[in-house]
Amino acid sequence: MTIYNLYIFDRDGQMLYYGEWTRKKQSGMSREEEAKLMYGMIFSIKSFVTKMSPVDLREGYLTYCTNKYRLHLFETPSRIKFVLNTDVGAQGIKELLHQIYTQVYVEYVSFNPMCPLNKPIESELFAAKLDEVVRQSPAYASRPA
Amino acid sequence: MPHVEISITCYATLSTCEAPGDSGAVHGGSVYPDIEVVRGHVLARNYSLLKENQRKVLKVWCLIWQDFQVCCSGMSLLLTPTTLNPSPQGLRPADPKKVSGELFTLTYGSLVAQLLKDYENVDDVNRQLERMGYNIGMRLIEDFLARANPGRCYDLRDTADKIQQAFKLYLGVSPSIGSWNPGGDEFSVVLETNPLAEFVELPDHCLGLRYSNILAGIIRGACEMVQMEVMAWFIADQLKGDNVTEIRIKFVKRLEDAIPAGED
Repeated sequence: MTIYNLYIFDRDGQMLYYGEWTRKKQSGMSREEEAKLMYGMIFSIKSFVTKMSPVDLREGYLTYCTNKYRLHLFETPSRIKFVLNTDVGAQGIKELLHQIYTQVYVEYVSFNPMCPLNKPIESELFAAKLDEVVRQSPAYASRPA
Repeated sequence: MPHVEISITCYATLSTCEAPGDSGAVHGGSVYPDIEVVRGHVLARNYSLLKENQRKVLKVWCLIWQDFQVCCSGMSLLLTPTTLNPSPQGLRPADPKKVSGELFTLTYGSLVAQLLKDYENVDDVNRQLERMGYNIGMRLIEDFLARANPGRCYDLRDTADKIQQAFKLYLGVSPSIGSWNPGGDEFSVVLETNPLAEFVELPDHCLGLRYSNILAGIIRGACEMVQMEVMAWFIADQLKGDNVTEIRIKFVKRLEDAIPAGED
């Protein structure tokens, strides 16, 4: 199992953080372009799914799967969006994203008065903790690509 | 060390804080004050002692200082045990992140007092407190969502329940919710006791002060982060002779999700 990469967006659609672990292919565009495309897509998918869903969606968690990778979207009630790409078989990602939110984002961004809420996250401590949590998760396998 | 006997005694006192006598007097004369408060005062060295004890303490500090100079010249690091005995169980809060309620109340009091000095005008102080609360609320909401995992609110009654829950979580009090207006977009949070104002009495020239206005700000800030614009203000305050402390909350509007750039 593998974790590829992670995007964090704030409520205004601005990318707060990008993290990469075993991404095997780059998109060939700038990170900003990529972030805009990603946000645009999850925004559309979300509104599409909300309209078309035959059952009530109240969880704030959404995932879709292609035959090569799986995208997971976790959105907090405060509209912070965590988008994580993994391989198709990855398990327990919802819990992992929740853990990233409660143990990394809240602890090292919300509680850090020097860390502005609507600017990209520059805290090194945040990056280090995030990396630690991701690498410890069962979905992360350390075998090199 | 030459004065090792005295320093061990002193260390034992400091590390277990088994000497509540004088420090206890600071905290309303209770014999066993909250251990964390005493520890805080001891570490900050701002406890007050009887005159004779003060002299003793100064003497001990001097002896320790002399010892350090004798033994540690040329040393850049000194490791000491943090406690000699295991600290008393049951007196310490289970969660190491928690601080004593008194410390919190006193800190808030000195904050308000300083604002009064800086601004002089109580209306400005009220505004500043609300603004500070707003900024706290914007961050605190994330912790609330992470810890209580409350899910989303689908109507204002949900929201009122969550606010009630948050008061319990952060202030340890259970307010009651009530006085809904007929339109269902306005309600009151009623506090029987207000931990912020526990030791407070408003002087005559501060009667316009909304002492706990930070709470109104926190509610506004927190709600805004979950797409709800609300107004929150005090309509009754025990500090002004009312029976209860009451915060009125009015729903203004729902804030919509941001649309990505380039889409309509």
